[in-house]
Amino acid sequence: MAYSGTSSGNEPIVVCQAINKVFKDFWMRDRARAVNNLSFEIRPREVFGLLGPNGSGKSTTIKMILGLLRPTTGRISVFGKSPSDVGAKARIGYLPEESYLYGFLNARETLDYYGKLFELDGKTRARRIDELLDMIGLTAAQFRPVREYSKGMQRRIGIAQALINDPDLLILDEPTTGLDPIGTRQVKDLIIDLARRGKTILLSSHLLADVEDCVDRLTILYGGQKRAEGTCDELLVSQSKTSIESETLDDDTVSEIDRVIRSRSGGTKSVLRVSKPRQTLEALFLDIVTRARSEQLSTSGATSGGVTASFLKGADDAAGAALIDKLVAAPTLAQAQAEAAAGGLLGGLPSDDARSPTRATAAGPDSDVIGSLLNSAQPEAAKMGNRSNIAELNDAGVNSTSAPTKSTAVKPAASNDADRSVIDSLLGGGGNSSEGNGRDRS
Amino acid sequence: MTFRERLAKLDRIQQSLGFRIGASIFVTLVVVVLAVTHVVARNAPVASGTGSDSGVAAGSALAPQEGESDAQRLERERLNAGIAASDKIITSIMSRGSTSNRLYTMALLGWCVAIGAIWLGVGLTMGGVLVGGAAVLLPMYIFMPSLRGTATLLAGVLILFISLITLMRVAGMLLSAPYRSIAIARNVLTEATRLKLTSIFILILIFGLAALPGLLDPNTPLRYRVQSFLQWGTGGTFFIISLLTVVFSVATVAFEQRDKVIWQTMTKPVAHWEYILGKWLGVTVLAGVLLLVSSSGIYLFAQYLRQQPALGESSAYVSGDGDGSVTDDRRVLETQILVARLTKQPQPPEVDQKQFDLNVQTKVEEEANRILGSGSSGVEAFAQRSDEMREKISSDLRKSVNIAYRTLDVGQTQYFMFEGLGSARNSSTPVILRYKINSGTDRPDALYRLTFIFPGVQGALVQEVGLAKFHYLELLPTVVDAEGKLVVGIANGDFETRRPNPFGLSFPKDGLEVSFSVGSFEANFVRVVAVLWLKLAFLAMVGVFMATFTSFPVACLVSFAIYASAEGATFLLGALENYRTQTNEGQTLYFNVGIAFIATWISKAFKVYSDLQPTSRLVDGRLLGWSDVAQGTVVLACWIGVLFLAAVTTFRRRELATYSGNG
Repeated sequence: MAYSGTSSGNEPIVVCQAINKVFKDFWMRDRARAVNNLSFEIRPREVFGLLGPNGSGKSTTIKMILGLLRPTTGRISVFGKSPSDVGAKARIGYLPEESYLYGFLNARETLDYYGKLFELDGKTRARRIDELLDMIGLTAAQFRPVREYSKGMQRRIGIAQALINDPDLLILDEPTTGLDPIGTRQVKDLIIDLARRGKTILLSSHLLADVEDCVDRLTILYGGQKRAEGTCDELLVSQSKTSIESETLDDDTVSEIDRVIRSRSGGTKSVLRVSKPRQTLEALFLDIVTRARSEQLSTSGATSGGVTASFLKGADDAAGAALIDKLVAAPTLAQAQAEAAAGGLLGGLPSDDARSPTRATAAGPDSDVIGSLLNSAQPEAAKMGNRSNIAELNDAGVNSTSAPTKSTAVKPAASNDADRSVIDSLLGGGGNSSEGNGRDRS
Repeated sequence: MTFRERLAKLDRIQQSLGFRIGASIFVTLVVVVLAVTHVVARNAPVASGTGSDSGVAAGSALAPQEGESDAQRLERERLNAGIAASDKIITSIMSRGSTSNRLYTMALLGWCVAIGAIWLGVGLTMGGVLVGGAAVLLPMYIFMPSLRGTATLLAGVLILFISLITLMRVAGMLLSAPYRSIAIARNVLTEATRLKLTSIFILILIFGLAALPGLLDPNTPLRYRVQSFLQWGTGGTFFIISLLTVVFSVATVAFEQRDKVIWQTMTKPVAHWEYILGKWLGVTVLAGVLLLVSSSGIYLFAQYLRQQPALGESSAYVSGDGDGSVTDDRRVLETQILVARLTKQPQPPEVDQKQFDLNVQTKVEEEANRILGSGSSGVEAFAQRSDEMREKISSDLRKSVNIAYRTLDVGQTQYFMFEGLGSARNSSTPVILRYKINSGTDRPDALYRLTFIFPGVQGALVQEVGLAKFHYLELLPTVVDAEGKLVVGIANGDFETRRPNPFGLSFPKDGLEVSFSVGSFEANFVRVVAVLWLKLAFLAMVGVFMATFTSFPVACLVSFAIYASAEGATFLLGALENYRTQTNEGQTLYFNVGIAFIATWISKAFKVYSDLQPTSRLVDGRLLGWSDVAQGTVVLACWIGVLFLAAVTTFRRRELATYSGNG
């Protein structure tokens, strides 16, 4: 029988209690302590990040959660069951750190095989395979043996196989390894999309930018031990600085701002750095490829894809399909333009997204809300064009002349009300309230 | 439209329902028209009755004579019964040469294959390959005599490949259900067809089997050609498939763990037992498909050989003498090889149990005195080994009695009784007496004369035979009495000329038996194939089990060792009887005891496996009964079950991921 169902209530999906993992050699002597007294919980519908450098115990922890390894001591439960329980595994999708696939199968056969392992019937398998292949952009290459695929293409198949069962818990171990920036963006957007649908995701990576863009809560490991845990804001927001972003300002205006700050703070605070933001390489790359695709240049690799499979959006039934049709009929021009500017939110071409019937259904029937959320969920590349300046204000009043490298606008903390009023006065009361990490969750 | 697109279009056409229905009707019509044409042609008047369907020269029964005595009447009736039995045998043999039956069978077989291919969605592919193959090979065969052998070989390869592809497709369809074990099995099957490792084995199998007929010497008697083909065909293909089974069953599990592909499978809702079952099922189905392909080829070519002229025949089933008689070559082929004969050993000699026990006791006492005479250590040794010693002395004495029963001194006559031959009396095939004698050093140039006496039959039969070789004597079924008993007297020497042989002789353990036909070659062949498949299923589980906890080379080595032990268990058990575990002085050789213990345990464990001997039974035309198959099935199924549980237990205890050093 095929297992199904989603988590209910607020019971943690994954619980790790004081787990230790010691690898032993042939003579049963301790060889390496990979995980050391690690405890954490992953709650329903959250994206949980597991961060750490190589050898910090991330993959070992994931393998223990999946039942591929047994903890030396400690306890792990997944959906309230043992990690080796078949019922629990039926609700998990797993993407390992490398693509371990049957090289003799082609993409379609690969997905069909894994679909059968979930005992999905033939009709469901065929539909999901079509949608997943389309989503990962391998429809044209679906009959080529997987061993002939590039690393990135294999990674895409790996992602597709992890999603074939529409999992409640998705475990992604270094999901962006081997992917080009477009694929990386797609994966991030997919994670956000799935999280919006209420899926629980465990994301392991040593690429901090990957994690920062997606996760709600994260744990940082080093040497198998937990070093920090909390939400992104808790861990990342600097309470001692304020950043302001505006249209290009001339030197006089900047001096005036500096003067106002000094006078309001009694000379203890000043403008520390004034710079013009640089576009990120990722944004530049995405822009170039998007333009190349719009010129219809051919490629033997993966095509754009990127439209999330409808079954992953909960549109598996007829009612869902009808809803999709209804919603597709009324995408606003502003939404289409915003998506085009983002290079396709799930990595597709603007034209792909504009014509995709499923695109507008991602967050359910409330299309206006979805539209606004999707707008705010645009990657930085889409918003960069409107920004021209970033000023960082330091409470300590220390000037810095180093060139700015980070273009993220940080949402002011609630405790900085005094600073906020200064900024508002400077900007004529119209403070920018866009989310820094480019995502919002309904 | 590109070539690839054209092929894709053709594939869609052959898979369409319309094509399937239309092609089925067409093929059926062709077969019906051919059959009707043949019937019409067959019923047309012919000038002479020559040919394989010609009549059989029946023996004439002896008419009663005036004033014959009771003794003469009984003798006449006995002779008439013999003539009738002989006629029955000849008629039975000649009926097998009927071309009509053969054609109808072939037509039915061809129709089944064609319909099967059409409904599997490969009708056009198979038809295209056959037509293309014929277009190349027929001109090669007809116009280039020097390449006839090559053309025949390629035709064989083509047919075997077509069979393989079709059967693999059938197996794939059977394994298409969305159940985890079945999905894994299907994946194993796909892996087998796409991996170089297995492809090499399959190529060797197909080319070897296709080339085998070309290696048979056409000048040897037909029966030897058929036996050689069956021996090499069945034995050789089983050997290759068993190697493939062991290597592939190990590879499919071991490589998956080595390459970490198993992570993807075992993080899906797959229980450990489902994984092991799936792997085993896949390898077993693959072995079954290969066995079915090769055995079909073997059977069809054996039938082809059967239709070739035997020694002394002008054409198949037509004696060169033109008198409708059956040549020796043909008779032996039809009555001893291409049949299923039940074998009976002579009854063991009756022994006076009281006297036997007395002799055992005497021997035990002698041995005890010898051991006890060596002091206190001897007393202890005797106390420990008294039961074992008595058992061994009893066993040795019984063996000695049996050997003495089978040993004939110069000029001596011994009577042997065979029981349970009731069904042979009414059989249309002769009773075969098979014997082999040993004498001295079995000089290859020595010829001994044996005189065979059958109670109730006048006169005796003298045979001049070589040593240490099997010889056959065909007897009419009438020699078996109404109770199903046959008594044969054998004398060491020529009774007619009163000339004895120079030395005594003996029949080895398997050197004297009678057999009679109880079934067809075809049914026996099916049972042989079933047993071979059973053995392969066992080997597959051995390989899967070993691969759950050892690496590929180690698992292969151990699996091959188990395979060799299983195949040679009967031989090993016989050899162990002469294996010394103590010195002449009665001191125990502990190392030898250990070896003997292990070897005995292994041999006993696999004795049933070894005793089945499907290939040798097929080659000798001996019956492999359903009871043998059932016994083998039960024992091997138990072994498979035990290994399955062991594999699942081992697999559950293993951590599939290892320390990568990356955390």
